[in-house]
Amino acid sequence: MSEVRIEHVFKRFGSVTAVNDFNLVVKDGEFVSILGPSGCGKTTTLRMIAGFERATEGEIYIGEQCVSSSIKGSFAPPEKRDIGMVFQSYAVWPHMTVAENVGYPLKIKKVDKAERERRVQEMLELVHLGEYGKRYPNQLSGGQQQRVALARALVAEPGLLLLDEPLSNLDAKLRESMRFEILEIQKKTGITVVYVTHDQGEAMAMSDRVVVMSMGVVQQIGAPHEIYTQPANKMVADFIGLVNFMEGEAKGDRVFLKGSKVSFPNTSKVTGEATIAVRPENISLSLVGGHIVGQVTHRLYLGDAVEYRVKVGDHDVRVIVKGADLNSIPDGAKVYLDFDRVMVFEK
Amino acid sequence: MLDVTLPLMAPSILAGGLLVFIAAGSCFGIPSIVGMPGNIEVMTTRIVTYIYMGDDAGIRDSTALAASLMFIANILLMGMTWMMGRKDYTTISGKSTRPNIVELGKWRWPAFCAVGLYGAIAVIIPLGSIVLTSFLKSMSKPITWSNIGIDPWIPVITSAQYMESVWNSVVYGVIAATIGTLLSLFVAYLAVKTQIKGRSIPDLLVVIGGSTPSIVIALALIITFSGNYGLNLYSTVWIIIVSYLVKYMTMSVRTIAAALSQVHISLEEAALNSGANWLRCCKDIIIPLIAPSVIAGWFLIFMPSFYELTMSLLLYGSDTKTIGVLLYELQTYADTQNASVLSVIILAIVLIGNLILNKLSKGNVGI
Repeated sequence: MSEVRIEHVFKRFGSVTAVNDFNLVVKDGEFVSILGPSGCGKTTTLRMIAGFERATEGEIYIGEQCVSSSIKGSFAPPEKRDIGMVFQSYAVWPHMTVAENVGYPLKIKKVDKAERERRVQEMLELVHLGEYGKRYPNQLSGGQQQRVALARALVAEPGLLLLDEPLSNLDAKLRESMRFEILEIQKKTGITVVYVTHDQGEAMAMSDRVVVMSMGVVQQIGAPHEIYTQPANKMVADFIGLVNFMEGEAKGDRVFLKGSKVSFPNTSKVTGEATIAVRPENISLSLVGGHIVGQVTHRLYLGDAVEYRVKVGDHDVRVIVKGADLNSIPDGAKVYLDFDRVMVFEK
Repeated sequence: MLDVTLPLMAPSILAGGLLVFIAAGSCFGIPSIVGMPGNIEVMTTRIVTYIYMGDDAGIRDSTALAASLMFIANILLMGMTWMMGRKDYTTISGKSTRPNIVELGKWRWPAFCAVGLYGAIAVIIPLGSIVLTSFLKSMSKPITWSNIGIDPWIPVITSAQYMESVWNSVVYGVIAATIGTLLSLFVAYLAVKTQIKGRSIPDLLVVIGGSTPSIVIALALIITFSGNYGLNLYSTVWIIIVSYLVKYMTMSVRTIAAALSQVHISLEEAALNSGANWLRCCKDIIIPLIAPSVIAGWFLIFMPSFYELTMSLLLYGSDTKTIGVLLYELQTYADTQNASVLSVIILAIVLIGNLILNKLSKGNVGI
């Protein structure tokens, strides 16, 4: 298994900088997700690790091997890197059977036939396709095709597994169960994984650490709970989970909600104008008393919770109350809000 | 249907109409054989008449006519390509899907009859009569069982002169198809899979060649390769093969390019990622995926080359007479009997080729 080191990597397409000073060390056996909206540079980063794109600047190491270096001017082509990859579009070869698809990397490595068949069967069992070896890809469902791709990526026992939005073409239910399957396989094989996705739920649920990217720049690297509870900036707070932003004003070690006497600790040491951020589930709602006054404008029934839209000054605040009774607070009611776990950012 | 399907198909339908118009306008063989007796002249037959005059004025007039014909055909085709080109396809992506089929219901039989009637008038009856004629012992006697036999075939099949032409056509077709397919692979790969500047220029040249009326190509080759520019290919095999390549490579380039562009980039990347180098990737992934189209491309050059008339007629020499030229001569000398036999031979070969083509391309291409 391999450690991956990415040092000061840039990728420029003409005048556009797709990836701007990317730095990351993925530890041996770690599962790291690169998360961000489309066009943020996450796929370009993955393709540079795989060798399909050449970094304009910077160094990439996989294990002991320096696969790409702008200083040394060296570049290992994709076939010379010890990597398995799963593509968004599955990329299983339609003219080969499932077993031929999975066995192809071994065939290239000239593994003898008996050994090859044994390992292919082992891989197919691992992805629960033990009976499907003789089928052709067009006889399989999308989820099964993606599992074939996964088996093919793992069969040669690479040190690193790259996954490029592998679940985004699957339906919601399948996606959830595939998350567990991928995690289970990672646990069994102990392989290092770099996983690219735009789905924050996927990234949060599966990863040891998450890299949040936006416009080619890494915004934050951290464990899922860190990213969620201590986002580094507004972009991360906004992208991960739901959040309410409100204008605030910093005075010393307190930040005041604009136009009110309500204040919160200035955790980010901001001066002057600030942004106060609070997640909908960290707001409590009361008909009796609290610090901030508002008026309910809409209610949405979410099953396990109720989402309220509360007008506070000029702001439309989202509040999610777990296990609430839809009828306990009517539309138009005057309510009192209390904010918990408030985050403070630069304006 | 009226709101969605037809508007979506409109460019294709219009393109189909234009293609027929251009093909009809550039056609020489049919108007020449069918129209000559009634003194009906069209642009193409007039060009040939001028060329046969042989003097400078003849060449000049024919060139003028040819240039305008080429101009019209190319402008129309360019417009069409532009119209059709505003779409994006990638269908083989490693995700396999199934097409859907329209249930005709009560329209099934009327539709069948309409198609059947067209087929009968346009194809079955004329072709049937040729086949029948080829087996008539005597043209002047009525069609009865006693008048039908293989007798008319014997002089044709045993004629060294006839068989030489058939053989010539097969050989030229095979040479043109083989060279053409290799060139097409190269041109298509360049245009579809690389990022090189000017990668689509060879493709464009092939398209221009293909959309140029045969008669214009022939005339251009005569002028170019008669030694005026130091190279004299006139009345050799090669001038004929070059003409076939210019005219027919476009079909195979299109077919191969379409197949190549349907091979999603991730299929190649998955192979590289599996440790295969580029050559190995071509051999194991790309070539097998496009093989049917490559073979189809070969037949798409071979078949029209095999029965080609217009260019062969203007370019053949005494040793390089093709089956098309022979047939034309027989028809002109009113030797209907032998012409029918030859026609049936051509038909059989082309039919077999088409069957192979259809099988390979799963019904997508044919002549």
